[in-house]
Amino acid sequence: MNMPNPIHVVLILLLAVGLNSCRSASSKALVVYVSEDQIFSEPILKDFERETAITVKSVFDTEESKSTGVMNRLIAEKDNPQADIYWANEPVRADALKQRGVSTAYVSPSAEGIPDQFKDPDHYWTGFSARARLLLVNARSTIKPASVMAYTDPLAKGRAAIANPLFGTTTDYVAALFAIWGDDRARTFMNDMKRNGVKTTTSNGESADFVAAGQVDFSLVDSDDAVNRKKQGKPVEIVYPDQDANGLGVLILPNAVALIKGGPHPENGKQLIDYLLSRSTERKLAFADCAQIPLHSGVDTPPEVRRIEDIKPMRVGYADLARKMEEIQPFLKEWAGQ
Amino acid sequence: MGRPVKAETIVLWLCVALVAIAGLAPIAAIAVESFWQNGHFSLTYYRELISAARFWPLLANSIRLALATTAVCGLIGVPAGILFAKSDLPLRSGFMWLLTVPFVLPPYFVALGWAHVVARIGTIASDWLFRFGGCVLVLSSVFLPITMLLTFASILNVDRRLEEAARLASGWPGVLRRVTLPLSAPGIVFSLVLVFLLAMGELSVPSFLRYPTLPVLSFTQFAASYNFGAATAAAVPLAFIAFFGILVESAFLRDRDYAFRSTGQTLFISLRHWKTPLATLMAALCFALVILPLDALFADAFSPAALHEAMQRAGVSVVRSVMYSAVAATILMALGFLLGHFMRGGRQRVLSALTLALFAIPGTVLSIGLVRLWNTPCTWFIYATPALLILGYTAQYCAVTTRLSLAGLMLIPTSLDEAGRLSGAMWARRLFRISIPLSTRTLLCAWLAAYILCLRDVPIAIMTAPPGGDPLPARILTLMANGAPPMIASLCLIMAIASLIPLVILARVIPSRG
Repeated sequence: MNMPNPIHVVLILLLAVGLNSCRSASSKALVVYVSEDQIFSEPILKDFERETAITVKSVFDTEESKSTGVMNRLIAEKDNPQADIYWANEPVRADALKQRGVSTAYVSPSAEGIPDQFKDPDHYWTGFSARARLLLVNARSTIKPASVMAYTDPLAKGRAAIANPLFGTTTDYVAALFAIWGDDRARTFMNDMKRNGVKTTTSNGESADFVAAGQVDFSLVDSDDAVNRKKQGKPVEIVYPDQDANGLGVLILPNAVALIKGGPHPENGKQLIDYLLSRSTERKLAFADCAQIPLHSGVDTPPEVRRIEDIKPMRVGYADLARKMEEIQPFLKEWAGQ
Repeated sequence: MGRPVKAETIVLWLCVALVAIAGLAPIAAIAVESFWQNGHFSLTYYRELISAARFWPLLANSIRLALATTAVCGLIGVPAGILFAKSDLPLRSGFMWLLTVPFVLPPYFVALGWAHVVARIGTIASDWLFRFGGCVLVLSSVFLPITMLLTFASILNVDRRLEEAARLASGWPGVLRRVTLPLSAPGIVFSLVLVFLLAMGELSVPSFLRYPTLPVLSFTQFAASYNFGAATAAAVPLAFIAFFGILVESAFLRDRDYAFRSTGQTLFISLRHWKTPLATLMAALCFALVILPLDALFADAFSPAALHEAMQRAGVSVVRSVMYSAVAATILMALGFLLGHFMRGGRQRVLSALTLALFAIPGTVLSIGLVRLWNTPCTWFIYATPALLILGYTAQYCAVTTRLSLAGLMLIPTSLDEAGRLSGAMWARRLFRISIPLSTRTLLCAWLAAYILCLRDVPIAIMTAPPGGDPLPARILTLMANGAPPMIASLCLIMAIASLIPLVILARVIPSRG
């Protein structure tokens, strides 16, 4: 048998790579940068592709970049945008894009029915399918926390964990405390918590594992981490903290979707936004392993996911959170020893 | 009228231009940016980096990790290479290829495998793995094949006549100490320098095992803060140490010959009563470093449901990975062969240092430079396509194909080329009619080595893949966040198969002795 001519092989390979890359210029395509975990977001994007015949080209964040990698890529590409849509896993990043002029306004018809609290007033981003910051408690623990104040309780000395507040949703939570309580009270709380021997972990997932393994009694984690451990049959209980009349409430962190200014396929991008904000997408994300809370009222949820109307949320603006997060960075670095 | 420019010179400069475009220009772009703030020359990024409390501990961690990994690889890899090359150890071929397996996989696979192992043991083992000790264990098993295979190759090329002469006056320990090892030293030192540089620049394992090092800081500055200047500043100390490593190697190898020359049959050491204990030791090593972590990693990988989900999630990425790696390997093979050809002609120093420097620079830094250089409206055809990824692979790995080609070309007698020249054949004709036909095995080895390196690469894949064009190692990394462990295990298995196929071909092409 004759061996194929190596030059032909190279030309075929180059052609294949070239064709693969040229597809993105087609009008039936769109580019989306995604901070939501790929395992949960990709099936939704595939469904969109199937239903609209629009090819979706995605860039996903890695765990190492703590969900800020693609946001920063968007900022760097501001003068030469490659993306049409940013699917953020929380609204603070989406608001940062608005502040930097990377995104543009779009009023989606699917956004009707989503409470205003979860939408940008100027329509630069819209929230959907939320996570909540919950307390995950080991079922065998004698400590039964009902509030985040349990972190400073002497009974919990050395028995609680929290993910590094320099990253991810823990930063959001601490910024929310600063925004609601004011700087002095929030600093005192953080320092008391540290003095009480709280264990700092690298991620909410690790905190949840520590609770499940009984290495600590409780930890503040995201609702998806909590539900995930519960589904795995780990001995854990989920507590929605600070739900009494004068309580702080639970920090709700919806996904947020934003249209990128000057993106190559704006009309396709708008179609994806409408799709993501729809009730059917919220239902899918509620029943998926991420167990996210729908923001439209009346959407079906599995038993372990509480409906938004049954939760007392924290009253905090996401734009205020974004500002507060930047302000408290030096304090957090010092607190975390970095 | 000046002298006409030779075709050889034009091709040489085209090759140098490709290396410059792929590697030097991006590095220069970010180096300039790291000294530039608000439109003015500034040392702010460097000042901030050095004055930050975490800088010195991170630098110390990086050096400590690289030194410990190099020491372990030297202590195990060099004796293993000697045993496989010179002794009658039973099953030596099997041991050698088995120990090579971790090198063809992305390093974080091995880390993931060990994470599964310690999860079965308990908290104490877990605490140990997710620290310095775990990083050294994983990186040593990944980079051990470098010292082992280069020692093996160097020792096979020692002239047996010298050893025979030495045997008249001394036993094997003396011959090894005074003849074999000194003559193999260039290859062994080169392998140790390579391990040191690779361990210094490694990102995925320290990041996964939560051991803070400078590459992790540099990646975070880029990925989480997109701060090019700060990311480059964090990488500059690594680049300096890499250059220092190259200088040490150059100083050590000054006036020594790199070339591997076949001298016929190797002289063997008969192990006699040491055969069984040493074979048992090697089996234990293979079990501890390869079988244990990979068995734990792939334990859940074979369930049909997990394999089905893995193929659904990443089937396209497998095809993409193979395609990108094949294209990059072909470019690297051609580039390496031409550069090797020129280096053989005496232009070694600059080209060798240049390509090795690009190999030594962490993939994250190179990728940052590529993104910075090519993200412009006029260059979308590079930035928004796999071309950026392939440029990254080309810059990072051309040292490997160049050195392999050089070693292969050294085996061709120069008299053949001289005869062609005397009979009036032009350079291109001599290249196509003499050098290439006599180097088919070298070219195949170079292609396969480049293919494996590109396929297992993580930093360049993560940071330069175009939208919707992520290769498999990048996809596995993004799916690992909350992905079901059996599905991740199946993805790792698919990746391992894609990497092992060329290794099997390599094993068939290169007999263990020859």
